[in-house]
Amino acid sequence: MAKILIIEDDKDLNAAYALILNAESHTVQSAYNGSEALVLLKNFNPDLILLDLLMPVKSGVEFIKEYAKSGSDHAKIVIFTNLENSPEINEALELGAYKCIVKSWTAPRGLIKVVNDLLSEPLRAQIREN
Amino acid sequence: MEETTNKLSDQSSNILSKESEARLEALLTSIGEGLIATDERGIITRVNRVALLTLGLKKSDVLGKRYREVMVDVYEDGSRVPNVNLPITRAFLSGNTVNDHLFCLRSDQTIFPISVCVSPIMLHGKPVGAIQLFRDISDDVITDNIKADFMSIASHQLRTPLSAINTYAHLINDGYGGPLTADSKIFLDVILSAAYRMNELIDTLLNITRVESGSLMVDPAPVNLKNLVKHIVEEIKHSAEEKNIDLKIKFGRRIPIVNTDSLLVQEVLANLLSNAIKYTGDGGSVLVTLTSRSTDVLFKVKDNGYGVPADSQKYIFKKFFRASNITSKEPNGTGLGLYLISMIAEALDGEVWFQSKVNQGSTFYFSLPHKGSNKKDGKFKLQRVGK
Repeated sequence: MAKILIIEDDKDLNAAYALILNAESHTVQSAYNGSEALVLLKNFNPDLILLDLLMPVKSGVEFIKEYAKSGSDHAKIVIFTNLENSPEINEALELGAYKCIVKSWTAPRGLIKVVNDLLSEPLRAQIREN
Repeated sequence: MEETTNKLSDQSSNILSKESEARLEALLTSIGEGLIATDERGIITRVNRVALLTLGLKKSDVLGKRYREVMVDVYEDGSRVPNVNLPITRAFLSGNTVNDHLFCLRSDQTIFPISVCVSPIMLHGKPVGAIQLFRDISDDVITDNIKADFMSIASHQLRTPLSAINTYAHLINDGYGGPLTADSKIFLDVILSAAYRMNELIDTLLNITRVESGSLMVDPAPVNLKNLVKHIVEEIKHSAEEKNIDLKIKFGRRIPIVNTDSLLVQEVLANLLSNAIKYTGDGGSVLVTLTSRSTDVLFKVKDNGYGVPADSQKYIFKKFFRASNITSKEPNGTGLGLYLISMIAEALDGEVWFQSKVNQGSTFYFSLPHKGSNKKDGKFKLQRVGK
């Protein structure tokens, strides 16, 4: 089973995603903004990161940029956001995020499918121009 | 005597002609939109004050010059619109009125958006020139952008609490909180269904804002329409199965590959099909047909459902309109779906229309030209509702 980091400032949603993924026997850690996530990553090396974009302290895009600089950015990143057609989404995808999911439409089965599909997908080189 | 009469007649003709000319000039000047008229060679023969003000030119800069020397029609990126794509060329060649939105390069090198309406001037059945009305729509574009930005922010804020409602309702439904009683399951279905409709409404409103503001992208590529129909039917067949509706597909011969925007065509078809299923009673039938005609392909969605009453038919593509006979049967519709798809069809250079009889059913038609859809460099892609 995989190691997954959830970075989502909405505590209720963060808890729900953790519950669903724990029930699938994944090892899950939660952070509530990009800064907290970077601290957690010193001792946790996830296979997959579920990342919100609009968060206080450090946004999703800022997180991706700093994570890329860390040199240990082995995790696949999937964006969970309620934004749509926004520059933030485009930037996150250009920076190497694999997929973007609209949170308000996500059900547990959908989340599990996205996670399983991405875990089985081969790792691709992430773009790090920044 | 005769000579004198002729002289008087010539003088009065001149006076009348000058009077007519002055009246025509006054009429053209008082038009609130820019006006440029050309002869059949594209030489400008008339221009009004609004056109000169909008373009930042003097009358002497314009009259007798070629249209392209005066009116620099460009795309948003500043590249020139090719001659064949100019509305004035299209109107002249087709003999039809052409409406379009594009950009124009002013004499001070600034680019501004314009709305254009060009009609050919016909004499004895032949085009002898064209007349173009145009308007600087910069203020409209700013207003539309503010509206689109507001909708984007509002939809994000609405989706935030909806995400928690939807996710937790699904958690309960999927048994993460333990087993449910039969009644709890019924209550929960109401919450899930309301959350679904709310999500759907937000997506639709966002799409409408984008289409209305003209910021919707049309990105044509070769599309296999047969595969597209199969895909949409597969996507929606569970709704038909729930109502025991017999859903069938029929293809005509030699359906061409059409250069169009697959995402937009899917939205139109999914919407027509979903309506057919929604507004057909249990055990009914829905038939989707795709055929190729002389200049276009035709999608037909035929049902034997409730139909549209005659007095409602002319309003069916209006925003928020719902036919009187279905509000009691299906209270949850928004009246936005057909409005949205009629605008998408137009953006694709296609058409949507229908025939219907109450209690016998409806047939909705959606045509797309063989030559495909024109590319439109909008800011936004359509978000397929619920996808």
